[in-house]
Amino acid sequence: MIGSADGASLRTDVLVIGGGAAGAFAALAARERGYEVTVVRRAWGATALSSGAADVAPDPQALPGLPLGGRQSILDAAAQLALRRPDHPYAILRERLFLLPEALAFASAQTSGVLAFGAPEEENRLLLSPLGLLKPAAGGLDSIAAGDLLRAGGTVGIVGFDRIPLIDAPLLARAAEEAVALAGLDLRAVGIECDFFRHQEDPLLRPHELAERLERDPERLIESVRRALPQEAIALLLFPPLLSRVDAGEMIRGLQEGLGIRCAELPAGRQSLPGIRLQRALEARLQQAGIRIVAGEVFVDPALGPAPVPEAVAGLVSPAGPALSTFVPPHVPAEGGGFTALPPPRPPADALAAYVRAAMEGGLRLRGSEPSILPAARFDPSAGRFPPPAAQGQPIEAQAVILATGKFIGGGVRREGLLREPIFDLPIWVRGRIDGGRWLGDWTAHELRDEQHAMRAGVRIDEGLRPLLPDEGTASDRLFACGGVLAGNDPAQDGAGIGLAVFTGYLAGVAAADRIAGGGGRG
Amino acid sequence: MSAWIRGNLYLGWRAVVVHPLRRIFGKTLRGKASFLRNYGPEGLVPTPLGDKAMLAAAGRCISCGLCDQLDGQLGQVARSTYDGVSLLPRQYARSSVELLHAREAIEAIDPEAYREAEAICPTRVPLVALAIWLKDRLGRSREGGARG
Repeated sequence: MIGSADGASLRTDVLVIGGGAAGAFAALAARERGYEVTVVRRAWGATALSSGAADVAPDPQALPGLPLGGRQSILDAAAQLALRRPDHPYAILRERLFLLPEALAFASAQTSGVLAFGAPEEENRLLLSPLGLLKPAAGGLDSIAAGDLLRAGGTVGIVGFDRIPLIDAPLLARAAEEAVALAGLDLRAVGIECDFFRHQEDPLLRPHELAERLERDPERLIESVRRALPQEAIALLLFPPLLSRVDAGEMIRGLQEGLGIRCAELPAGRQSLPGIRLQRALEARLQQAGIRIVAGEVFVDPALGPAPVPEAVAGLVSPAGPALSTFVPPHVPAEGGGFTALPPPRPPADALAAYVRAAMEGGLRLRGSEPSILPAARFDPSAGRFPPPAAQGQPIEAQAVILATGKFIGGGVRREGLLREPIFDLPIWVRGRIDGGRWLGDWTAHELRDEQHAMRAGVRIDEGLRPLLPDEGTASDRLFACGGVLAGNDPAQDGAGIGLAVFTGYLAGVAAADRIAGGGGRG
Repeated sequence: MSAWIRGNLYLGWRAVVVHPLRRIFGKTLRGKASFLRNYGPEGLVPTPLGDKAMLAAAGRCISCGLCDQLDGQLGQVARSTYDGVSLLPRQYARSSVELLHAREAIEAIDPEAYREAEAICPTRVPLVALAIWLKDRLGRSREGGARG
């Protein structure tokens, strides 16, 4: 059961803020070491929207015309990503990349195989994306990871449902054949359209509604697929990711037994049921492990005063001047040919360090997660700061805090005039410098596949996963960060999404446990 | 006297004498009443500060579709009438003019049934309050239309 803020003081050894993959594995790692752990999460985040595939690092030599690249091991691919991008969390943690196999094995074991990863010394699995492209992934939900084309060994059947336009099986099969030909794989793909939903009145049912109907009548699904099977032998059947709302394992086993063919699911696109399954599996595992989950938001006690404002930002906003959010960029060409609205800020590192320390020493509060109707907090130019939350909240006492709040979707990074980390006001780094309200157009590119710097915005850490202040000193030796909130990673570009969350989450959980074991009580 | 001069004299008479006298002694509608008389028939209603705050809150929706998957009312109301709670922030909140066309859905939904969907919304869109507000706004749109 998910708890809520109840007014009493919340005492815990490790406080994890954020309940996605990174937060869950951080919590489980600390719990495994015997500590009392509480996860506070606002809502579901990007994990619930994930495709069900889990990337660690793609092969760096893979190209659109050569999708399999150099067929390197997952571990080597991660090491090469660290070399290629010096600001990437893998690069910062390069001395500890040897722990990646341990972290992945931990994730598989903790989820009882719901999240399955290949051995890091093996190459990535090759999954078929919903768009017919080849997607390398280290693993994923077991029902999806089983759809590895490298191990298909024959003709792959792609199952669709006539009258349901969600997956066009013949089209996907044609795209898959082109893709595997480029990869040099000896595979054939055929589209198989079964009639399970032929008498369905509404062709626009949502994925969860389709899954509910499939779960209700698995025998009819087997019969329907059997009728549609072609004459030739099928080695692997790939189903749309609709086989279950909770756990597709049982459905897959039933299909395999009924059809006598190996079965798997495709990774999901929008409205991902596998993402929801993963989120639910993680929450169930947290509760099973005795970890308390609380729906709420953590904030710093307003009595500690305002978060220190970067000098450059405060200087540019006069008491009578406009709020940053309405600041019009003067279009002064900046270094590198871009345009800048504000010069790089020089925040007072000492003041910020004192603020974070005070927050960590009894200054954290918890409030309920009722959504606010009021607009997001705006920079108050007369006060020179963002307004503090009105609620007093429930005091939190924790020996270590892990920030696993995600990026833009999870709420770990917000743009309110400038990019902010909303709990501790930690500096947000983009492209090697701290954001000071730069025009967002500088951080984004027109072409989707071009470098999107905004997606790399986040909190910078040291090799101990402790967030860094503007002077590159650590904010607190009891505060750790992991997952999407980290600077330098763009999951879409780098192909390190849930894998990075698992790795950094595991390390953060271990680091928090080690910190408590090493001494230093509650603040 | 040419038509041009006569026309201008008439306009001048209206502007300098008739219109000011009407404003002083006549029964002209002002403010909200005038707004509703002019725009009410089209379904436009005044947007007070509370409405603006709610519109901004609805604007937080990123169309991820998570809420639809926990919407217990999806399928209970005819699909042609109602296609998921994400329509509330994405479409129904956008225009009071179009709101009248969605009246069947808005009348049918129960705001309290959105608690579970609201609790998982990544961007914290207040779905329950939004549904209550839409019902109220629909009433105001109708009222405005009737007055017009």
